[in-house]
Amino acid sequence: MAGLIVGMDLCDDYSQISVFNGKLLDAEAVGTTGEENSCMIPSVVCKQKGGEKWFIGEEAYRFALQGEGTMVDKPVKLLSKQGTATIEGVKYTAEDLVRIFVEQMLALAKKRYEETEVASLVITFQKKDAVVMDSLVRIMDRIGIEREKVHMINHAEAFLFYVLSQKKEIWANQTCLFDLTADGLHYYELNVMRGRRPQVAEVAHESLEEGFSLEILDSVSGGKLADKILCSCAERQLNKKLVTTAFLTGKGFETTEWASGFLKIICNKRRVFSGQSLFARGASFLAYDYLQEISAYPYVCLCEGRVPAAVSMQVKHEGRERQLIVVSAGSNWYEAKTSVDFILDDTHSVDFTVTPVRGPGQKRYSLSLDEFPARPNKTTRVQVIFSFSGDKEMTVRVIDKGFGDFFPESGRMIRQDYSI
Amino acid sequence: MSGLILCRDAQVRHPFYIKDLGINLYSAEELCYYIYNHVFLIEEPFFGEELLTFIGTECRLADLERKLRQWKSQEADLGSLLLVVLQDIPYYNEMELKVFKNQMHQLRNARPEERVKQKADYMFRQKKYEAALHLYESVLPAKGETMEDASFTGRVYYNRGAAYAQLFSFAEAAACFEKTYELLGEEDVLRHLYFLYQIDASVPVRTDLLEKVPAQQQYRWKEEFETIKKREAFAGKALAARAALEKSAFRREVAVKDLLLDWKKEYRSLVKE
Repeated sequence: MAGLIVGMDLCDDYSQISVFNGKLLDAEAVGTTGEENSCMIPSVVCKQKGGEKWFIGEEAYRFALQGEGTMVDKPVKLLSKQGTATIEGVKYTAEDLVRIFVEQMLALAKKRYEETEVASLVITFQKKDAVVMDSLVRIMDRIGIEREKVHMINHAEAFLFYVLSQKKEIWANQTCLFDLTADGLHYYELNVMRGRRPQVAEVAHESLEEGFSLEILDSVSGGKLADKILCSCAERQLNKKLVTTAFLTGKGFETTEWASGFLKIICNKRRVFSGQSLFARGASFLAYDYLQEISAYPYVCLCEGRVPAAVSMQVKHEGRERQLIVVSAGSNWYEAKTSVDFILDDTHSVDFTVTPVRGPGQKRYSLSLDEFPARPNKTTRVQVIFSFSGDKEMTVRVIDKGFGDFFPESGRMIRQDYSI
Repeated sequence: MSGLILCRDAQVRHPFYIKDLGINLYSAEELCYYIYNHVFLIEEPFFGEELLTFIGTECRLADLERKLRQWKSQEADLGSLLLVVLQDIPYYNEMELKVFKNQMHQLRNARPEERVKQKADYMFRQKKYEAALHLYESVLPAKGETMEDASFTGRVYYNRGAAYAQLFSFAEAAACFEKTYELLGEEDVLRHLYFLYQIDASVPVRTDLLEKVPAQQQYRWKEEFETIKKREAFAGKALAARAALEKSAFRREVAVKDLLLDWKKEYRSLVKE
């Protein structure tokens, strides 16, 4: 298959890139050097003083340290605020800076695999932010990667796809992940519910209040304190649960000498894996899956960032009544935009049903179209657009499209927001 | 059963032009609507190469195109081909198709002049008065010809009169209404004549006809006319004209000019063939 299959974990402290190797059918982390620890690339960009060169990661720090460059950090936060940075009197937008950072990250992978094109790219970040994702779509346009090749997911989703890509025995029971970064301590728990078709794979995410600064790990006493904190978290989270596999990731778990107590708890009757590129690998597994005709993940994936319910409509198609699924449960909300055209047949409303995968039963909604011009039956065509601004925030827009030259469109649109 | 009909995905790049109506069809559903509601306008050769390509390529209904070509080669009549289209495109339900079949049956049994009148009536409803007048003219007996169906001819004259009136040709309208009265003898026709005379006293209305109407009835018509006149003074064009004239001095001229342009445009469309 031509082109790189890339997973990119974009965070404010460290970013990582992983490439799916089609021959080995596995994901490989890519670093700035051949060394294993070079895969965690500090999320900073630095412009050479008086020159046009840009650097990222460790190299950027080096240039800034030597006074040969001006550095900007936390690019994702800057992007979410749509901020700017002025370097040598020139104003750069966050989009400019992230574009440089992403381009250079991709260049590392292109160089290593001697490829020039990207076939599929999945970017993952801690939390989905519409502003950041919209910006990244524009950035990819500027880089020259077609929009349909780019997808965006959060860490919960990346964890889900990473684990589901492993041997079944790994996730046969509950699986958990502790992610310790400068941003905080995050706990994820994956549960694949059997006994229903399609199977439901659900990830619960909790940002634990006990997060601490990673700097305390530099001292022995600080390490002990951190271990104590983690022990209490682990006991609380794993109590009375059939968690048989645990993953540890994040800068905080780069070394685990300080966490002896925590490891003792977590390794009790469990397999424990520690690694640094879990999210980027999960993203690259998904990037590979997007290129396949049949998905390797025939699950309804539920977690933050995924729509927890199916949205359907009763329609007439080819003369028969049928139920049309307009939004599938477990869809990535950012990509779950659906547009369908209908002709109104003796009705003045658009009705749809929301069926949650879990929780209380289905709900029926009716959006009145009385504001649209009155016309003879079957001569009003409407475009119904379902879109999301969050996993539970759905917007329905109905646009009057008239009926060709017989009844020109009025240009009216009815919009309604729903919390599903 | 009410609800939502799922539209086909096909995006038409090259619409199909309907000359009679001066409009384009952009979808298979619009084609069905046109056939169903304008069947009296449709004449051979409707299923030409252009329409078949529109159905097969633009609407992506290759099977239907193939079927129509096959039926055509077997010399199926126009009505059967129209029915094939309506049955294959799921826009009308069984009940509606039944109504269409009845309509087709009536049309098949109708005399040619009845069909022309239906077409003319449609043109009238579409405010294409000049086109309607030509069609009405074509079904009237020529000078010297005997009139076979007085009722039919009377209705044609009545509609002609109404079309002339819409074009402000009051003298011609009056002549048509007089002819209608001669043929049908309906008092309501005289009411129209009376109204024409009220609108424009110079219209040559045969006084002997109006004299037949009792004074009390004429008084009621006058009252009715005055009511309509008052109502119309605050609606439609009069209202638009009033609004234009009430504008401030420098805007008034532009508004009146725009209004006149609109009216001219509208009138041109009325007399367009």
